Amino acid sequence: MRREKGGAMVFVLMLLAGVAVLLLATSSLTSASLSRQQRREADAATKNAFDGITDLVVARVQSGAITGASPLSGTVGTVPYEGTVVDDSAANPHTWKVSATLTYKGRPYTYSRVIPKVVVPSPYTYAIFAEPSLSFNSRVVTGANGENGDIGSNGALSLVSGSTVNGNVEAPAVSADGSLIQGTIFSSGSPITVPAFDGALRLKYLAANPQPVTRLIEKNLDLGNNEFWYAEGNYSISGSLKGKGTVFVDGNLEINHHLRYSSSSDCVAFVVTGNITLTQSDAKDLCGYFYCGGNFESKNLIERNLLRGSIVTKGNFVADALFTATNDPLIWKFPQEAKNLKLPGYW
Amino acid sequence: MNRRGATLVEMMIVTMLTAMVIGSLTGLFGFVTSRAAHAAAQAGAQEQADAVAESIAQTVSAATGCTVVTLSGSQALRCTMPAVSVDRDGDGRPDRWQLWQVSRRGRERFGTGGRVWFYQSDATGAFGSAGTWPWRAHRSDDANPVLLGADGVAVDADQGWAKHSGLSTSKYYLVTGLTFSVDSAQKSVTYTVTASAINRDDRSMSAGDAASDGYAVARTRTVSWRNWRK
Repeated sequence: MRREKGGAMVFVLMLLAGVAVLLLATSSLTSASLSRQQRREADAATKNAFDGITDLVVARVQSGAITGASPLSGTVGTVPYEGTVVDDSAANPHTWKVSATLTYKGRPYTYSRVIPKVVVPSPYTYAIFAEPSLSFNSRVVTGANGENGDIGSNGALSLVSGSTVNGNVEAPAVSADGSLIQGTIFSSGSPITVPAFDGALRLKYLAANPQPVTRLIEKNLDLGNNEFWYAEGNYSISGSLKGKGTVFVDGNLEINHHLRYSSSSDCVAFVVTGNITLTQSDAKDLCGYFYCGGNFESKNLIERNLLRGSIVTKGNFVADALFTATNDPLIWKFPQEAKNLKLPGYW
Repeated sequence: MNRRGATLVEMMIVTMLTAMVIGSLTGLFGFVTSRAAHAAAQAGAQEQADAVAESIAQTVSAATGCTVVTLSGSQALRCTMPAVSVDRDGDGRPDRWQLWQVSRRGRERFGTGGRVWFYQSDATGAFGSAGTWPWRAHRSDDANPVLLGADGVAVDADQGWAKHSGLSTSKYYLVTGLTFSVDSAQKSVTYTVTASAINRDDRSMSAGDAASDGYAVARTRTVSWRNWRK
């Protein structure tokens, strides 16, 4: 009798062992699958929560609620977070960096993203900006490597086929004519005001330095550090530009030869109440921030190159041959430089 | 002691009952293991389809633009990615993309970076070759990813994504189909990933089994590319 019971017991134990193994295997498979699904769920939940945090920060930046470095904390749904908004302009001009650590089911997940700051647009951050309209009658190449080549106008803008814009094109109406635009065409931006040179503005500039320069044909300027030169009447200039400062021409300006910076730290602003004209075949290169109260004209079928600067015209921009222009990003990176250079609208 | 033995009839009854119990247990065991294998295969097909679909979704949502490319009857999705990328998992391939610069109006600009491809091919990963292996490839331009390396695998193909580490088998061996369509106006990609447990080496049934025993899963998603501002 005991032997029979023992045999049955062994049989039952073997069956139980087999079933237990089967159950363990199934359980292991299920738990592995479950943990994978839980990881995916955590990734999705925290990523979606961080997207929500970023959207919230963007809204607060645009409303003006965030204007400086700020701490972040709160809860998105059931996911608590702590983080910061810091100025990332050193790495990328006009940007904030949003960083946050989210806690989901006891585990931390850290994300970060760079977002744009609110920017007050300046015409001097464009390679070429013409207030009334910008209608090129020859090819234009602006910027390089996709940047520093934005062009804009408060009126219609039309490009000639074969042009290349390394940046955005901004105007209420844009005719690209098959040109290569490395950025985006924006047609809904608000107008950027280019100040007119009225009596009040003239007086302000005259008060800065009432003594006009004695020579009306200037070659090789050295402006030192923030010097202000005043030319009463028409003025011609060429040669090397050195230092940092402003040349105010109360009349027309002619660039009759190459006009080039002598070093990468030089920066000169030309504030011209009348027209700026280039006619000579030797005047191919030019540098500087140009405010033109009248028209900017490049004539005689000579290809010209704005090596570093900006051309902002109250009137029209006219070039009858290939015109290359690259914006000097100094004012873009350091907006207060527009005031230091005494550019109209910023001084 | 008077030990009474078992009669023949008793032995026959016991044997019959034992056989019935063992038979039913065996049948039950076979049924359970078969259904478990079916379930595992179904779960595997779902998991692989989900993994491929999620990888495509992450890439498309970060792209500046996408287009469908066709070669020799094979279809591929080519995504143009932003200029600035980060390799967070250290596999030598970018997997996160971010803002390049801010425009003069304060809008995000993402620039133009490399290209990420998704397509099906054979073990070489050459686009245009017939096969069902899902592949991801990286290039810096718009040319097709067809170059072959010393190991016979396309240079641009991301082996770490497509294959198990150190092995020559596809990570997504249950995926049977990848189809794409692009809506440029809506800046979106609609794609379908299909996976099936039939006709695979670890399948739970043979090709001769009833079609109803098989399991096919399809994941269809429409994802927009968000970083379209160049």
